[in-house]
Amino acid sequence: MKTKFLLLPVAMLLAQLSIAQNDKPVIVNRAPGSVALKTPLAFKRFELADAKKDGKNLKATDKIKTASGKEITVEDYLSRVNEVEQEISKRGYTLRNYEPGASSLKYKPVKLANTDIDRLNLQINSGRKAPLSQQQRLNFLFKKKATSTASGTAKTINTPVTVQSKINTDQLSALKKVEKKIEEEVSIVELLKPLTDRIQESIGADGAKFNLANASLKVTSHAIRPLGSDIENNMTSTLSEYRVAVNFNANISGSFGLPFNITIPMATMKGEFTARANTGQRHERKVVVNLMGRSFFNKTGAISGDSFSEEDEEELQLSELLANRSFSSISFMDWLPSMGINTSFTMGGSVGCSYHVEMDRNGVSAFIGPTYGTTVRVSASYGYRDVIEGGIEGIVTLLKGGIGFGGSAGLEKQEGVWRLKNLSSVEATLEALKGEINLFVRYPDLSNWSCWGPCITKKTFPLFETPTAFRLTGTLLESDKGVNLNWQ
Amino acid sequence: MTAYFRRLMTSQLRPSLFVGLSLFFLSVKAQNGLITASLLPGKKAWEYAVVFNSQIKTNLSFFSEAIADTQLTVSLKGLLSLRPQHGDREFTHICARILAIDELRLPAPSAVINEVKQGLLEGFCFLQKRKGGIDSIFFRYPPADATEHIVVQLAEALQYYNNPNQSLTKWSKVIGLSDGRLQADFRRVDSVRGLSRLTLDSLVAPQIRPSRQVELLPQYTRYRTRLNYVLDSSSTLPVVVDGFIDRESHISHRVASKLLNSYSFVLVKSIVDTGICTGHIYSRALFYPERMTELRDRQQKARADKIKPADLEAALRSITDSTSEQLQMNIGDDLKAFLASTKFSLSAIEEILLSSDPRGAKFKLIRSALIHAATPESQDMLVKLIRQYRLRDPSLLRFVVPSVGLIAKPEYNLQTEMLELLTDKRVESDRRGTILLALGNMAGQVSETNLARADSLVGRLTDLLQPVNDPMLLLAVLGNAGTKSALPSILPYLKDSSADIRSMAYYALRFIDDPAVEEIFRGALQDISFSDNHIIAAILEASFYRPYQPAISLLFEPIMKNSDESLKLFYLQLICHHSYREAPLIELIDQVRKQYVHTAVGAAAEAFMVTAGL
Repeated sequence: MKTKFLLLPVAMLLAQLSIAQNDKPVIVNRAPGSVALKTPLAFKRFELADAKKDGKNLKATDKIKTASGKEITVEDYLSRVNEVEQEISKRGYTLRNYEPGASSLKYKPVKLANTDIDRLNLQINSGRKAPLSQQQRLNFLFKKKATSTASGTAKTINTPVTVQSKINTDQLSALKKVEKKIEEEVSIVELLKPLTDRIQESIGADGAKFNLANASLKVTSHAIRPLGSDIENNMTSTLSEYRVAVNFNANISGSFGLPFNITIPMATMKGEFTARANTGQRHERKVVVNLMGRSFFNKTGAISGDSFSEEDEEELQLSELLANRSFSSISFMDWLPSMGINTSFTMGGSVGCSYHVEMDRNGVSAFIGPTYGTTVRVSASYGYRDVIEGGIEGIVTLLKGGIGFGGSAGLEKQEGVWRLKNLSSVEATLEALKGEINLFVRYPDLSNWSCWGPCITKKTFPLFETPTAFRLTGTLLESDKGVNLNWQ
Repeated sequence: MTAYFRRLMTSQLRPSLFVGLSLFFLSVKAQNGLITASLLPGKKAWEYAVVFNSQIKTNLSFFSEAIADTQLTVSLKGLLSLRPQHGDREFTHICARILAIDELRLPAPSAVINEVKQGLLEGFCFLQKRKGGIDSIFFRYPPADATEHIVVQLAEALQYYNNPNQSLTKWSKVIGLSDGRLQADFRRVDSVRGLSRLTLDSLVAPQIRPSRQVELLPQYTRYRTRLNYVLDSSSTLPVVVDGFIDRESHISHRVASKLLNSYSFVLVKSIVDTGICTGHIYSRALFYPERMTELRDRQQKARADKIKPADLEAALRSITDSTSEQLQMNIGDDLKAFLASTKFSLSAIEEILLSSDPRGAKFKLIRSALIHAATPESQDMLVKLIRQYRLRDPSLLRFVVPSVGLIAKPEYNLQTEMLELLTDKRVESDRRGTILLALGNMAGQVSETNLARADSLVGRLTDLLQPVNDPMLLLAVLGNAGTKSALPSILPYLKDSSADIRSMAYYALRFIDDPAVEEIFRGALQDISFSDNHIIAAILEASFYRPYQPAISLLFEPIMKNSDESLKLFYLQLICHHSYREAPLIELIDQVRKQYVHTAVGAAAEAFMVTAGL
């Protein structure tokens, strides 16, 4: 049977790879390559005389074993063989000389060698600083915490202070001259480009595609000089505000050597931490993690007190959210006949989120680290009259690892100079696309009936093969947009 | 007999021709006095000439036009006896038996064909409602899968609904087929010599509430039918049925496979049937969705039977974080089958779980298998794990609590254990939010099987959350639960002064199966100024989890005029999502494609249309 004839299960599987939820699956067809269609052959029946074992003809009533090991008569078997032969001869193949080959694949397979990926990984990570450990990263973000003394220790004032609400237009105008706002926003898409571009270069030539998560980190430092000369003690009466916000949409998109491009939406994570200088106002933190329509983290709202510190983490296995799915194409039947397409699709991996935040009246420092991994395992087989069988099998780790987002915004006095802090950092420990998906065909060798019937030959063709993973490991961004303020 | 079939049942004939031939044949028989006026209880039966063809086609062009479709065919020609035995106000018990088989073709080994033959000759019974629908089918012995399939498919065509209101020419009725309950549209055609003719024109699957479980890519069935019935007013059963019921199984907008059934039942004569029709030990509803589950359970049991507990235990102990994903998945599959089987002792698994590092791969694999298995024994193990963490280190609860909320059919002891965590002073107060969210999810899972219990849990959660004064958490918890009883607690927040809380309140309605929610959405979308995009986005997001509502189509113009590109894309995603079951939405998507050519939303619409092969 022509190899590509067996690819329907692939399509079925791919259809299932997409998950219908709030984030929609997007499937885009890969462009098929040009496969020269074979000239149809004249159908020539296999006769009883063709069934020979040790030079002796088998009888119509002799029992032989089929591809699945069932015992049937030679006559019954030949009748099935002829059904298959009639079908495949229309497409230029014959079981007399069956040669399914990779050249008959309509969609070009993606095969990358170890050496190629190693070379690319060197390029991807070239000159990149190794990622800091989480503690090192926290030290970097929180490094000034111990000496940060904008107002010494933050004062606790029980009565709300609303000085700014009483100012008149002239005062507001004067104030604007002494306020400073820094807003640093980074898009993860740009930062991951070294990885995604190299992957795309490698597999794009074969029509496959790969994209990664979409996310952004925004660090905002907005300091307003207080009225009067005593800045140190009056900052707590301003509307100065410092914020670190991460908006992370975990999804993976790719075609992995198969004829579709699939987007697998996984999670939405939002982390937003706002520290306010004004002691009459409350800090805010918003941590929302939604997976497949369910809320797992929802810590939102105002925080009491001047100082706040919190860390937490959570992780769920995808298999806990998604039931494994076996699928028969013939969903309206409860009897599966001998010819059927049966697929089993398992999604493995996990989605998690950890964060660490510290806030006081002088600023906020936060580290937010989504982790995620997705592995798909597919197995699909298609049998035709228990004579010939084909399908796909394999496992691919689409993505594994995490991205750490860090931000620090605030006001500090260093050696007598007021400085508006605005630090951003992004680092990644990502591995992508490691695995193998093969197409296989099992068919009878009708010139050799010595295996309790015709011996079964199995041929395997890789559709997708990346023996090692693409890696992006390192610090993608370390930015200090802080400025010294000319505040006397 | 053979000549009769050759003359009447050339297999390629389409229904309209069947009808003409059948009526002709019927009239000849009637003139010869072969048809009795009506059947009386007893051994008197009706004998039908039956031709049934069932083709199952796998649509390989789903992959490529160049590839041929394949098909297999089941065909049966023979004589069928139908004998109404007894009835009450609701049902008539009808005995059926194949009296003679002229032809039986099946893509199965001869042994299976013989078994099917035997099963058909032995007979079956079914309960037919007074109005014509069939409720259940009974067999004397558990039939072969293939026998069951043929009988079920045959029986589907024998049900009809004859509206006694003679002034109506068209009417609808919900009937059950093997794959679902469908709206059946009937039409009265005419009456000839005391025989009236009905036609079943269409079968439409009603909208069903989407499952809370994330649906894998939409799979649904479309129907095409034309079944003609000739009825004798005094009879229980139709005297002629012919036509077809075709089904197309879709994956997204692609046809994945087809089941094409064609039928012809023609009454030949009344007979005396002495076939035995008692003592049935196997019964099934015509619509029997659990059947596929049973098949899967059977496969899982077969897997469990091959597992040696000592080998599985060794494999579990060997798992480290560097164990390959493939191996972990294989061990996980074995463990799931093992847990689902009740014949094994789970003490070794429990010991491994309780001693594992909760951050490690081994722990996660076992936890995931326990959630998946959801057996009482698995849940007991989770209770023990929670108790151990409460005593040892309550911060470790973060590794088990969110997962526990996802378990199907949670037992009371698991629910109680989770509730106790909320009052356990050892548990950090910050952890309570996660516990409440998990309990919200648990209430949602419970509501699938026990609404009263779910409502009780939601009431408890609401009471616990009221004093906390954290509207976002309250709404997130109630949103996870998604029961009708949560509605009164959500409603006040729809008018909250905070836009964040308002939009969260709309999103919290996503799972609630109540027409009031549609009214709320419709009202909000009518009144809302289109500058409040967060609320619109929340409603659109919630609408992914709900059946399609026409209000969604009405948003097309206002949203496309909105300047927010992300909202347009979001809206497009939503109409693409619903277009699988609501074909008219494809026109809207096409409109976006044509009108917004050089925009992101236009490109996305184009990509969708290409993908869908539209």
